[in-house]
Amino acid sequence: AAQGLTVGFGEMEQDSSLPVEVTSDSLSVNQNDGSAVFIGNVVVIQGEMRMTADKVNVYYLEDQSAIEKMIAVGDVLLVRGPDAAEGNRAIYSPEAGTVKMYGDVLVVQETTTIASDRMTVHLNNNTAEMHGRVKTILRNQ
Amino acid sequence: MASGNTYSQVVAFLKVVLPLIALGILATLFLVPREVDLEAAIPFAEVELEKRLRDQQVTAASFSTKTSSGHLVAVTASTAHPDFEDPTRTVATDLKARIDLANGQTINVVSDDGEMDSTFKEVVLTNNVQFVTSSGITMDTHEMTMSIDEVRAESSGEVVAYTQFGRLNAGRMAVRPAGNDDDIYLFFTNGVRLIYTPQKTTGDQ
Repeated sequence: AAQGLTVGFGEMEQDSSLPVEVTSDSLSVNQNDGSAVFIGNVVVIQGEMRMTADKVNVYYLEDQSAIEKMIAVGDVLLVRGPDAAEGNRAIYSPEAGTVKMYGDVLVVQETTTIASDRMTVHLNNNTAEMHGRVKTILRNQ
Repeated sequence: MASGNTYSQVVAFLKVVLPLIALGILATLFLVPREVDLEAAIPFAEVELEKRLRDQQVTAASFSTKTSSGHLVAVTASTAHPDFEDPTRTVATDLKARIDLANGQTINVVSDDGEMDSTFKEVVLTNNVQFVTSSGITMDTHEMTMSIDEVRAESSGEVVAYTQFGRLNAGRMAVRPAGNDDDIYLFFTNGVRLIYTPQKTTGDQ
């Protein structure tokens, strides 16, 4: 299997300054360090990207001016246009416009299914790099 | 010789009489009343005086405690008076509550009205309740119950919060210590919706 594979992921050019909407059952914010945790049916939506998970931890930049990254845990599902990817964990950085997925990642596109250990989705140019035991299953329609 | 000592007789006589006169003047000094008009000195109008007496109104009421874990809670109100229906409850207007957390952060809560029961354990803030934390979160809700002797508050309904990570709507909000080191947490429950707008991206590959 190829060491790394780059595939198209999603169709629209993703402008990473689009507003991010996060909905969940509950949210807890620690007053000391300001860290926030969304718990229960968490859905993160930005433009065409939609990510769902059981729990999402939010981390800010040092000066608390922006969200540095969101770590989603618990059957993470990432959907962009026709393409979907699932994994155990995902790190989404809105500023950098990337989603890194870990833990038996499975990408499902119309005709192909690709499994790998890790995947990095670049939202700005609709590509996804897959690393580690990449396995592609092609189904002929 | 008799005439020689008239001077000393007069002195001896005066030595007795003069102190008596002085004592007399001193004694009567307090009896001479100075006309002091007490009535004008009180700045309250007659009708307001009755109102105050009737409903025992207190102005600028304030109430502060220190919780067991070292946080300071201070509540002030512009007016406070017993509830007419149930005198054990105290009704107050224009409330300001300030919580100084042990870690130096502060929480300020203001509301138009407030009500406290006789135990003075908690105050129910109503109408335009605004909850501001020094960590940059401002929250508006209609009604919130706030405990006095510990850092604990809970909104009874919808909450809109403006935070550094965006605008947030939630069904309920609660503030209380949690976790193993008793940090103060804000819990938003009953459905949460956050809208965060990233600043212009810096790391554009």
